[in-house]
Amino acid sequence: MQNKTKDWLEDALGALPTQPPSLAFRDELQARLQREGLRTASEAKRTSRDAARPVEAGRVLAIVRPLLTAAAAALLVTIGYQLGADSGNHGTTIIDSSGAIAEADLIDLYEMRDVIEGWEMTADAELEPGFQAIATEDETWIDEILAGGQK
Amino acid sequence: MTESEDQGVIWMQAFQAGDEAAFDQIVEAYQGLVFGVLRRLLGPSGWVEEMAQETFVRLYRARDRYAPAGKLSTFIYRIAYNLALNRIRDEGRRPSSSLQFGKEGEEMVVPDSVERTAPEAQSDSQDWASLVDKGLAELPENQRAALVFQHYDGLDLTEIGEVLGISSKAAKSLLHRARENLRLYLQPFKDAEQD
Repeated sequence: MQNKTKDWLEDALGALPTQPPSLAFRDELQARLQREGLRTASEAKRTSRDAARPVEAGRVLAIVRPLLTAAAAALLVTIGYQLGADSGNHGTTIIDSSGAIAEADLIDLYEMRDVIEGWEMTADAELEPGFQAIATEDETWIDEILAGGQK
Repeated sequence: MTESEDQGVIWMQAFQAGDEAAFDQIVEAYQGLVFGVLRRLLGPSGWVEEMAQETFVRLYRARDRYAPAGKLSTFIYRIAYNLALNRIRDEGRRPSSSLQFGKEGEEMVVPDSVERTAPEAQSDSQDWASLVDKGLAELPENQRAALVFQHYDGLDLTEIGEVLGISSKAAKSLLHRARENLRLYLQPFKDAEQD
């Protein structure tokens, strides 16, 4: 019975509202402190600026954050595009311009492939006696050369 | 929590060292607490804002003599309580004549008139918030304060004792009487609600 009584009393006490501070409370307190000579105007100005700083910083951050996000995204896209473009160049430029063979040479080689394929390297023993000898001794000469190169 | 761990004490010590911004942080952090306790001690009067302002002015003035001895909130409660007490006495807002008090204003007797007239006349037209307001206003100030500090602000008996300047044992006794007196005051309204 006692507990039941206390329960409703707790509920009743919970019905009592509170009173939030008014929006002008801090300003009025500052004015009062200045009026009474406890705080100078410059101190009040400085401290109110200090107190407002986190709020202002929060507002600025709220505005700047989407812009920073967009800038970061744009940067990533640019870098990605650049990497992709570079990668494309690697794919098409198979000829090292500073190397032993140029693109024009490769084209020439391609156009002359029939001649090259039809060229019997070992046909003339005077021109290439080494090849002639190998070819006649063993048909697997190329395998032996490769095996020897690995050693 | 020791006073060295209490953020309020840290701010107050910074304020004592000359950091004016620390005082503003105290105001920001504790203004809700001050308004709440004054509202419950003073009731729906127009004095809450003025007394809240006075509380912080007193705190500002206490800069040089403040010595950490517990949480800053306890110190602020004490200032607010003393100001509210003075205001109540100045205004003559003593409990209504329908109630009688024993020695030192600690005992309250609910007269027949309250039980007889309250439910019919007032139960339908007044909500529980205003009834509790009136019930609290009928309590002796120290009982009212003990109940407010315990129920709304969550202070324990030791803290209530510190704020009111009494022992924790006396605070416990005060709290018990406050609850019983408020229950006696509100019971007729509760009964009327159930009928």
